[in-house]
Amino acid sequence: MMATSKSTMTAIERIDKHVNLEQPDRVGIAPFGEFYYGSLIDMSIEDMLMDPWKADEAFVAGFEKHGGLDMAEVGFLLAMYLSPTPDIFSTFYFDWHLPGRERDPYDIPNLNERAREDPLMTEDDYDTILKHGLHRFFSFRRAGMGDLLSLVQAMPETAKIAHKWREQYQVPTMVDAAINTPFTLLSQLRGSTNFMLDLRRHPDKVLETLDVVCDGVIAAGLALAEMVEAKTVILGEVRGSADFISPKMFEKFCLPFLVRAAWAAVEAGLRIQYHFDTNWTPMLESFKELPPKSGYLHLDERTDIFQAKKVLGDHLCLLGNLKPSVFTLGTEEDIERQVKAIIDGCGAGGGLIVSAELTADSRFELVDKMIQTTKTYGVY
Amino acid sequence: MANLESLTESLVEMEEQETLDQVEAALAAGESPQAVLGALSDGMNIVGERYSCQGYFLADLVFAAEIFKLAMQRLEPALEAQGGGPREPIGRIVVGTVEGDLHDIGKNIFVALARNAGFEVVDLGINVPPAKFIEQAKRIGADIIGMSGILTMAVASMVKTVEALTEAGLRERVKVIIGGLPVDDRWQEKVGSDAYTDDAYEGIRICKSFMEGS
Repeated sequence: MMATSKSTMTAIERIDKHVNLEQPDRVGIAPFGEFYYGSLIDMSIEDMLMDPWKADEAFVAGFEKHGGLDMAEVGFLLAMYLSPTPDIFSTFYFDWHLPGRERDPYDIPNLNERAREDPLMTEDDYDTILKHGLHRFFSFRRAGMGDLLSLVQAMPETAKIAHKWREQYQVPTMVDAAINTPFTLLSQLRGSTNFMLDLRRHPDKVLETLDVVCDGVIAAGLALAEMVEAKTVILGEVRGSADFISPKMFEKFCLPFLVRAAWAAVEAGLRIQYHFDTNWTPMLESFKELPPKSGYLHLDERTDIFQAKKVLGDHLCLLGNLKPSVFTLGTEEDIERQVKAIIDGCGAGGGLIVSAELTADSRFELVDKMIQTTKTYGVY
Repeated sequence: MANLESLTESLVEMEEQETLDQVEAALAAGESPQAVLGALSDGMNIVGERYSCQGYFLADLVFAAEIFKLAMQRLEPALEAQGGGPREPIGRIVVGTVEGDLHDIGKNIFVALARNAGFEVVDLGINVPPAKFIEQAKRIGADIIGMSGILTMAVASMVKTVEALTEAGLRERVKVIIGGLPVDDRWQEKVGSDAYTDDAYEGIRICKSFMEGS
């Protein structure tokens, strides 16, 4: 790679090339970091969560301080945490502790999953879902009508912000809407430990329920996408990885629904951010069933991104995969070495966006090292 | 006499009802409860080995541990009747997800595996302040403190807990292990723990090694 930072394309053009697995002017750079950007201007996480324009103010600060990024974050958080439809982040469905409510305004949201004891969903509730759907789990325990009103008011603003980035700044948005994956949704409702036992004890019932839930989450996700004029939806999966289940279980209980949701998004004209945290290395071959060139595959440090390039290099763009804690506990040398290794191993021919999920306490100089190294070392 | 190899095998293959039936049958046939326990422990060791080499995955480990727990519920009365009391623990652990963090998947699995392995475990749950770790460590005479966390803010809570252990005069005699998916050598250095792990099963092995060294 050459050592120059001259950009010859807009961010939209660059990311389009990467997603289409073509070689643009340089490797993409797009860290996830809503709360990190807020910390740069001492904005509380509560403010960022509840007001999309404040979240945008924080992102603008990060965008400018780092000299530009290839994707924009657009205050999508509110739609997740206050979603009235089943969503793993929804306070109406799950025991989320939010900043400014159960937590300090500067703390990040935190989920009390109840992984084993006192789960939100009992073993008998598979039948409840089959009979009545997931909406039986909607609750006003932690959120109220005022929150629904906030959501209604915020969504059009979020759409305006996304439009601003795409049209005025030629920067694509990272995510505009979400399609939940039924496997992680059920696992979170049931509690991960209970759900892993259910996969063994009641496989047919689980499978039947996943099938029913899948159609609902696809419909809800596409409706949200339409409402905010989305270009990109996030399709996130965590609990189906090799950190939890075997590839054989993944192929039976998780993959068919991922594929169904992905094709539904593609048919609706949407790009997909496959947000796959934890270790997917043994499952990479299966990802060839996902629609080709349909978006970018976000991997964190637990998946071997070099193996992903070998297996999926002609199928999906990769996004990742520096470890978040290196931005709080590491050094600039660590960052530079890791970024260069990712670019050397995965950058050839395009299809690579360097990224990490930044935490609020990430150090500016370390984040900047990742960004500037990508912009210079990643030039084709 | 019962076929204890078959019992071991049924646990390894995670045949839940078959394993429980074989435990009942072995006891009914006059097999010593210690021998039955040995067969079950052999099974868990094989499951653990397969997990370590990615032949088995977490869901398998969780299910095998669940079967083992249910088998032990059947076995404990026989063990107590013959030995005059419950098993002597191989060590005492106080464990919890540290203050500010609510993640408990890995911590719960660690607790289940540690109990199966013969440790006495006090599970403090989630969002545990340093003082509670200290209080419970003193109460049970803990050998090991296990702190779990995923969020980077958990590092600060872990540091505070280790400082509180030192202030309470416990640090010299209590081993500290930290766990969670993102935990690594940088976390360990910052926290000042004796060990770290991102794997509950590995965590048990480390705790056993602590006890062997004590």
